[in-house]
Amino acid sequence: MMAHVLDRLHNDIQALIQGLNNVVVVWDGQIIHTQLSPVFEALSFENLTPNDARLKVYDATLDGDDPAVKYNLENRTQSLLIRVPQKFRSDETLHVFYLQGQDDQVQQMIVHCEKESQLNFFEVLANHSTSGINLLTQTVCDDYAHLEYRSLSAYGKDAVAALHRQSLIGERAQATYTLAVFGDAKLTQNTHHILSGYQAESLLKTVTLTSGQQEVFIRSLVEHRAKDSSGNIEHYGVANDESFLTFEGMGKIHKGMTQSKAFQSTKGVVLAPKARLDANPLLVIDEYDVEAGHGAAVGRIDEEQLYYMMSRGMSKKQAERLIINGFLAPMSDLLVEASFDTYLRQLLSQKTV
Amino acid sequence: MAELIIKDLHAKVDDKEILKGVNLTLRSGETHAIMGPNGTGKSTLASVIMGHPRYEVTQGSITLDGEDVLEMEVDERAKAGLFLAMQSPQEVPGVTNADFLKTAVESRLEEGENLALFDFIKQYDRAIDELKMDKDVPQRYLNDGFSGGEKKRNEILQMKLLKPSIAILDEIDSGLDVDALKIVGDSVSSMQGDQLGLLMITHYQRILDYIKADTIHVMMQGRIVKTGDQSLMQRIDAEGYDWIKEELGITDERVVVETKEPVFLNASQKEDV
Repeated sequence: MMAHVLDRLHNDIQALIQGLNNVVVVWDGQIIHTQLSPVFEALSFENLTPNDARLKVYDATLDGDDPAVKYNLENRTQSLLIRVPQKFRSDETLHVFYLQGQDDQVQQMIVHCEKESQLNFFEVLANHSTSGINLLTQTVCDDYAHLEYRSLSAYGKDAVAALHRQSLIGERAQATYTLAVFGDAKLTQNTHHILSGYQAESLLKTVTLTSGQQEVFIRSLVEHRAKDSSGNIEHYGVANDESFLTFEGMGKIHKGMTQSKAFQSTKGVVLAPKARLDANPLLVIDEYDVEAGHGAAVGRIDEEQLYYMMSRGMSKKQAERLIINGFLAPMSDLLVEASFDTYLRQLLSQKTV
Repeated sequence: MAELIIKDLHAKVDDKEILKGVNLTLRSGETHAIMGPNGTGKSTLASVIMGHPRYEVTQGSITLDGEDVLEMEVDERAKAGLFLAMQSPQEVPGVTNADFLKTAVESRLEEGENLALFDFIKQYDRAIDELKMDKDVPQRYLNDGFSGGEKKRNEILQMKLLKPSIAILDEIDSGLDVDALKIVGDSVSSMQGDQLGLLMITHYQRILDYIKADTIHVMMQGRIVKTGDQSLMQRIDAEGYDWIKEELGITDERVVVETKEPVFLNASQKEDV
């Protein structure tokens, strides 16, 4: 019965799901498959209509002037609300597959971690037909909550995607985001972390590999609206062929938010003469008593490293592959389960041929 | 039986000729040492044999068992049996020593042949023990954050697992303290034999206390100016190089004048040429 429901999925996604525990599959806005260990039965999963009153409080926090957000608010077809109850704890990971089937996908997902809860969350985003995708994902970390948020987007060439993410992080709460953008789609990813409580912490990490004539724009904004809050933005990118990858990072500290820390770094490798990788780090700081900094290192693969590695017998391609794998090492955070290893390696090798 | 033959080798970097007619024949079972002061072209010779992209060969030939080495890519030279323990091994953050070495060993396998992973790991562990390196070396990134001595040991460790037929050790002794020198020296000596031709490049004879060389060459002005046996080395050790310069009428032995720094592919990688 279950296998039948999943038959429509791409083989690689099916294989991925079969290797995992704790899976929720959302297909064109409907939950078509749920497999959860008893511990996750404490969570609630609700599919809400766009006008559901419960969405108002979440919508109010969004930047309605952002065109992608505005479009989502006006056109979304479905909102999935996942609530994680107070003091919930589990070392297991919840996997949510957000899959586009036939129609354009304009959807919203909210993960609300209540006070003192802790969640490991993993989302996989993929499409099955030509489509426009506008996905809004919001997370709320109430005071003392810890959220480990991992994402793998693997949209194909036939999709154009706008991903808007927001996280509201409360007092002494922590949100750690590892976002891997590995598909072939033209894509914009806009992530906004709001440190709204005293000593809130955010780590916002994006790993991207572009190829072909792909254009990908990654924007990461961490906003400090509380004292003693700390934000770290990390961008890792590899641009191949004739692709164009842009990283824009911004740490923004409001007046009076003393003792806050805003850091960011960008590391990138350009593999082909016609590929382009831009890094625009920004710091907007309206307070003196803070720590802040940014660094960027973008360039081609070091010829001396290649020579050294080739002198041990490996081909230039093999050496480059090893270096690229090393470059994307931060994505190893995504390899908590063995089945992702196979899947990611496959994606990786397709894009670095 | 491997045979490396270098004939009338000329090479330049950035339009500056560094090698000016090197002749050398090295067979497996033999150990040669090239000695000489700084800036005489010793390291350039090693880099040219391995195929560093910075150097251009303008004249002469290098063959390995009759095959034209100069026609080969760097990786093909390695697969043909050449190995160069580098003076300043590269650091490659993100790539573990184990992945690096495994890929290097695999690259030598025939099509369809698989690496015997268990044997590989066993050999790797044994080599780490022998060279008295940290147990966590396989998981650490390639030479990343290694001390000078650790890097040199790592070169020898790679050599042990890759089993070349001709190995060139470019100043393997620099950066090693007395204990490390003995460990590296003993390890290399244990590899000497019928299967290996060894070319040692060094300023000093101290490494040659541990690794016995049968032929000593002295390099000056981009060519080998004198060849002899152990007694030549002993005389250099006692008297330095001045007597050779006098004998040959050389006033400046260098080809690389230090005030004119060569341009490197990567500015942070400065080596002695």
